Amino acid sequence: MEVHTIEGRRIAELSGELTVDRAAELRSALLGAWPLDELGLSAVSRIDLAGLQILAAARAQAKNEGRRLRLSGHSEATLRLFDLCGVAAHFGDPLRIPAAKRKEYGFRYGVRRPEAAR
Amino acid sequence: MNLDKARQLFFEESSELLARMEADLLALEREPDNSESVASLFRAAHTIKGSAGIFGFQAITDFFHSIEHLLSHWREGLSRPAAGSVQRLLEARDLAVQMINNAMAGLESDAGLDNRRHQLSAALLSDTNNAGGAQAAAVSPSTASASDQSEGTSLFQFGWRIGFRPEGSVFKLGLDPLAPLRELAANSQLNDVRLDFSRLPPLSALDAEECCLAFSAELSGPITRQDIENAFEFFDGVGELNIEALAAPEEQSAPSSAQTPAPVAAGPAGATVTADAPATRFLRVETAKLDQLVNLVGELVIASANISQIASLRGDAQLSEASESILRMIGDLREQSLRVRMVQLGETFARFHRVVRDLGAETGKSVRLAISGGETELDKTVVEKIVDPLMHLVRNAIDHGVEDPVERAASGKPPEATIVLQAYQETGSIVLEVRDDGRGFQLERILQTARRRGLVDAGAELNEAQILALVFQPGFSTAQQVSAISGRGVGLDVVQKNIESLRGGIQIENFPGQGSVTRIRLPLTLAIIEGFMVQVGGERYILPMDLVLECVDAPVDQSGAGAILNLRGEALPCVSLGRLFGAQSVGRSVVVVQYAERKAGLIVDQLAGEYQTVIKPLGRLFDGLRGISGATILGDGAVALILDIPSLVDLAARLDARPAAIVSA
Repeated sequence: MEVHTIEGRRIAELSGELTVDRAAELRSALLGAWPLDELGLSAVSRIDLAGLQILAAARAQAKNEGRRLRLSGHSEATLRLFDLCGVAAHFGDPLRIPAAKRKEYGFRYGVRRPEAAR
Repeated sequence: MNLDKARQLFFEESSELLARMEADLLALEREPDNSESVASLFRAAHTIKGSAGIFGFQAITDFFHSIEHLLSHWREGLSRPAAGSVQRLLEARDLAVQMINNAMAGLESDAGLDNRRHQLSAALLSDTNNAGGAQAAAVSPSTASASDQSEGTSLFQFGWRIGFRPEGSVFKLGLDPLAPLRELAANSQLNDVRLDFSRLPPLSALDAEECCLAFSAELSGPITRQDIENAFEFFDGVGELNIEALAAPEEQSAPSSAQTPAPVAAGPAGATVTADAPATRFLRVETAKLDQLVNLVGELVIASANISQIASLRGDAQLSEASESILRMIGDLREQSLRVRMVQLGETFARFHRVVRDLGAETGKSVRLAISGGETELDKTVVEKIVDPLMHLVRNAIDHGVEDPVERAASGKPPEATIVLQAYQETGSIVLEVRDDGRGFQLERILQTARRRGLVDAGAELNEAQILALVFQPGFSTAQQVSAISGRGVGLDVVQKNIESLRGGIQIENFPGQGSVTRIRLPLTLAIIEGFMVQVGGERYILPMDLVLECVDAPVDQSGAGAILNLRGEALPCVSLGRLFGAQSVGRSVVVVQYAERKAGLIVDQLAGEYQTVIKPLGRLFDGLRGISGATILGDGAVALILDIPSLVDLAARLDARPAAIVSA
């Protein structure tokens, strides 16, 4: 995991597998680099529910501290998981999907926003 | 929704499922290891069984129980589909069609049918047991079906809401809680997945190897409670699964839902029927309602044409502009509402797999069916009316066209003949082709038969097209032996009549020794067309815009009904509409039209431009009228006749033989 600071924002670039086997390792790495403003996901090759749980917990941590943790550069693996679980609205970060691949996803922006539904 | 309607729904749904079963069985016959076909068959059989039970069709329920029993063996891999069993299932399916038809007609059971049913049931049971080896005998049908129904695979199950809360330990056990979701997503529509983050602590308090998330989702599609439970089977004991059946809102207060047994709790599953509106992808609509919609849109087209005509008469630019935008929207509305009635031909074509298979077996010929262009769309009413004609053509092709394997081998063809059903779009029409690689039409034999029947004079010399046209004569049949398949005297003349009643045409292309192609051309839609208005002798006429190629100004000598126009070096046969309809015409313009790859010119006085046209049929009084296919009401209330281009093109070609004048454009 690489951390750099751009214009005062601390950004961690995550890479490789964000899966259950590496969840503990990832958690300590994130906490070691804390506080963070942004997690870059462009080099994430695999992610499962345990990885997603880390991302959500990190976001909750930042929120508790009165900051917002952004996710950026979602890789294809990340997009697929977000699409399956309908969590795009929960994280609320902009997602970039190549136009050619748009049909492969079921994303409906705004539809699954939890506060809007019921 | 009353019970009658629910029953109607059952009949409709069943016939769709039975059609699917047929397709699956034929697929299975080709590749016995296709587990997808088996799964699809099982689901279909299971659904019919459950629904038949709800409506008290005990015989159908029992029968499908034995079908399902064999299928479940295959599905679980206890045995492989044997060719004999597949054949037996095909017979069983056909019998089921009869049973359901009888039930639909409200007929009492008939002894012959019952006998057949018992025989088949027994045969299927022995298939199951023999193949399954030590497998115990089937459970008694009625008890089994009662318990199966409570699994809730009824037709009226619109979907499921599942909730799953895995225990914290699942990650350590190496389980992926999303795996079942992915599995289910492959077989059903996954809607509204929600992750529950409420128990998730912030990162510093999180045990990364402890699962703190739960999720819920809505599923719709052909899956059963059992399927869902199976998907989550690895989580037995380490998670809490909740399954609720979603009922369609309409069924909530309906008597049928009272009869739909609520799913009984099994294991950790709860059993509540929620009133949640399910996300359905299809809506069943009565055809009458659609027809009404299309009619109204038609009236709207007429009324708006009226407005724009008034606007242009008054020279009111603002009104013109407003009416233009209304017209544009109505155009969209028209297109949309017509599209609602369009269905893909694929399903209709797929039925022919069985026809070809059975006919091939009956005639001892080996025939393969290839389908292309199944995604071509056609008006539903048209699709219903072309099934019989297509059936006739396919039968004809197999019976008369395709040679037996010995003869094929002798002429150096592959022993297996190919029939191709093809659909595609061509300027303004849909073309359906039945193509075979048989011996083609034997002109000599056709001519002989026609002479014998007195259809042509003994000495008459006919060209190929004229001879081929003979097969459309009433009562014509060349089959040397009258078989059960074709040659029953009800021949191609009926096919031609049916096609013509749809404003279409039929055409044969013959390749002696190589095969033949029969082409049916049908108009894209029946009710509303994009028209092109012309004036002849003070009367207005409409042509289908799709068939218009171009318009040219040309002084044409109209002393005869026909003329040849030199159109950029090409000879174009023309018909003078003024002469044809006996009107005073000056004939200033020529509209060039094309139909079935033939061009012709129509000589008119004035071109009046595009016009959205609602086709109103002419009364039976005008049946014999040549050159007119219908009428429409114009904006000002006047009636304009719609020209029948195919017959005019035909006429032009015949007048061509004795040109009255040749002019240059």
